[in-house]
Amino acid sequence: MTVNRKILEVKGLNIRFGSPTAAPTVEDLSFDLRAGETLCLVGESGSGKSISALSLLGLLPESAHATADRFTFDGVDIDPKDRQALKKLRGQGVAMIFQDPMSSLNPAFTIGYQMVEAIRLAPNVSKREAVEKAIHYLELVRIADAGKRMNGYPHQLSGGMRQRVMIAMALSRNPKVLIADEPTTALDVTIQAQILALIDDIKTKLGTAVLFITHDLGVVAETADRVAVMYAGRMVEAGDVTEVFDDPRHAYTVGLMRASPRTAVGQRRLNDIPGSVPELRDRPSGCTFSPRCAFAIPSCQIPGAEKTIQDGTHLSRCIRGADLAKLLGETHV
Amino acid sequence: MSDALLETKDLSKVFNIGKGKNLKAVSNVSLKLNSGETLAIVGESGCGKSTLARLLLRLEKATTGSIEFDGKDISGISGAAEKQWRRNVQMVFQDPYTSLNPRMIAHDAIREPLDNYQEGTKQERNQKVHDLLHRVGLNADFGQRYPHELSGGQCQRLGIARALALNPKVLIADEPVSALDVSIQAQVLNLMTDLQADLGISIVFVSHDLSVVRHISDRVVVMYLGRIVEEGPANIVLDSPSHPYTKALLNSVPVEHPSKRSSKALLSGEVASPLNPPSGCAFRTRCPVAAPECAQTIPKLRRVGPKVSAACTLLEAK
Repeated sequence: MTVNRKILEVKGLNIRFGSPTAAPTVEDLSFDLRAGETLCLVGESGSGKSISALSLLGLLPESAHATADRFTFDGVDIDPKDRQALKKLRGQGVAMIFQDPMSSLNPAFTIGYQMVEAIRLAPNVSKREAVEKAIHYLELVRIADAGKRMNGYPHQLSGGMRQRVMIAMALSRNPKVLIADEPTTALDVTIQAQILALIDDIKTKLGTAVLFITHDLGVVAETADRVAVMYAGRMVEAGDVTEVFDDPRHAYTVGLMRASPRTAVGQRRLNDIPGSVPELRDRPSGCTFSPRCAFAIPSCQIPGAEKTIQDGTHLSRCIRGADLAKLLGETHV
Repeated sequence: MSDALLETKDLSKVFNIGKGKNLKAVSNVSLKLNSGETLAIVGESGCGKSTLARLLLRLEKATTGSIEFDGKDISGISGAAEKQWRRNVQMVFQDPYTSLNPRMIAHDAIREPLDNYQEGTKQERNQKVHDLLHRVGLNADFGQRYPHELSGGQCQRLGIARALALNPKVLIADEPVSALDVSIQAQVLNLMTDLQADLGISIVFVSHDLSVVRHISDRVVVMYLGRIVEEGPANIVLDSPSHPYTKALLNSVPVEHPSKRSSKALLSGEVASPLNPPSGCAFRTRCPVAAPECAQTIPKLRRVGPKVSAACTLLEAK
């Protein structure tokens, strides 16, 4: 794959709630997003994946404090605290779709009204142009009878159709980045497959960079070019999707993969991960995953054990990362 | 594992939704739940799987057809007999938070069914609650906590403990792990596997997640628009499906490794409205192999392979 232009560059993003000196909810997050690629941010509830995405859009609540060593959009530096600058990015630079399309659409207005409203946020767009554009994008997301659907209300659409409308609306101002926060979690598996194919198609056709947030490793395997795994506010592993699936370097990634029923074919019990994600105030020092980790050794809890280890394009915060394949082999035998 | 514990015959449920319109949520479902087995009911939203679960629990009254429990027809029971029957079949819900009373501590939530049936002395009931907490892997001090002080996985453990309080023979679990994170999902599934092995209970497992179903169930029933389209042992149905719908459903499941990606033949369109189902086979409007004769008659469930039945006009009966 050719290396495309960097659209988004984030280095050392910290997000704190309450006071600027509070313990960070998201800590030292760094990633790049390139045109025409899908980066999957994967993690369980409370890992900080949605908060991180919201911070890129300036949609965090007032109580949040976001800081970054470096945050650029299409080569331009942006201060993550500058809500005005982030607001300018929304829509034309970065657009977002959410898990529940019903609560993202206004039930009292027609699809067409809401689409036109979004399109006309751009200066100098006549109503007629906006209507044409709206129909064009509804057709792009393969909504049949787009012209007729414009007069329909959200409740008249199925979940899959609503998500298509959300995607059309998000695309209608030509964003360079599309953030999709669990866009298929509420959908049936056959509809999920359709929506994943659609997002893939858009990425290829329009060259949009996609930041795809999910908890489902199957979705990652299906759609990602690159993947970043998050746990308790930190990105614990990142790399090309094949690299990470073939040779996971963080014990948490391994744990997630092994917890899936699909890797336990023929086993009576699944390989669960004991315990649960620590609360913000109870995060252990060193590696935050160590209390639940089957491979933890005493040095995992020493501050510094969480430092990022880089091997080419493959990043991990696990001091046992390089030995995991061997350790796994031993537990199997 | 041969005697049917719970058996339905031609069970149908029609909802009258006003203006003379009827919605057929479940149509002519005949199934058997054997003692000690896990039977999964799978399908997309609107296929009738939750309504079927509610019919089995008698939370809904069937429009036609019968339900037998342990060989006895329970379709008509009411009053005290129904109350006594209810202890045999208990439910685990999808959302562990909303299915628990937010103002009741865990201990009281588990004790409530025991109090309702006046099981033993107060002391015995408290002891039983203590045992149940331990049984589902919760520390005794969790008993004093309110649902909001518990995580999703802990709430679901509590929901299971409550369902087990009356020593039921059947547990009906409607999407019990779909609201949980993967690592927690595995914990709860393991708990259910262990409980079944130890207590010999039968489980009806309603789910849309085929990999979970493949793992936990012995037999599986695939539903589409209120009807069973395929039924058989989980490993056969999910590894080599017969019905075009089961095939399409399995084909839609995300791959497990990026190297297995392929441009799949996606199922087009969405489930037809149950208010106005297509004539003949309800799946024919989305079916990749539909033929003209599919519009003629509603296909009956029949044997298509060893232990497997499917309802498809185009499949050879065996």
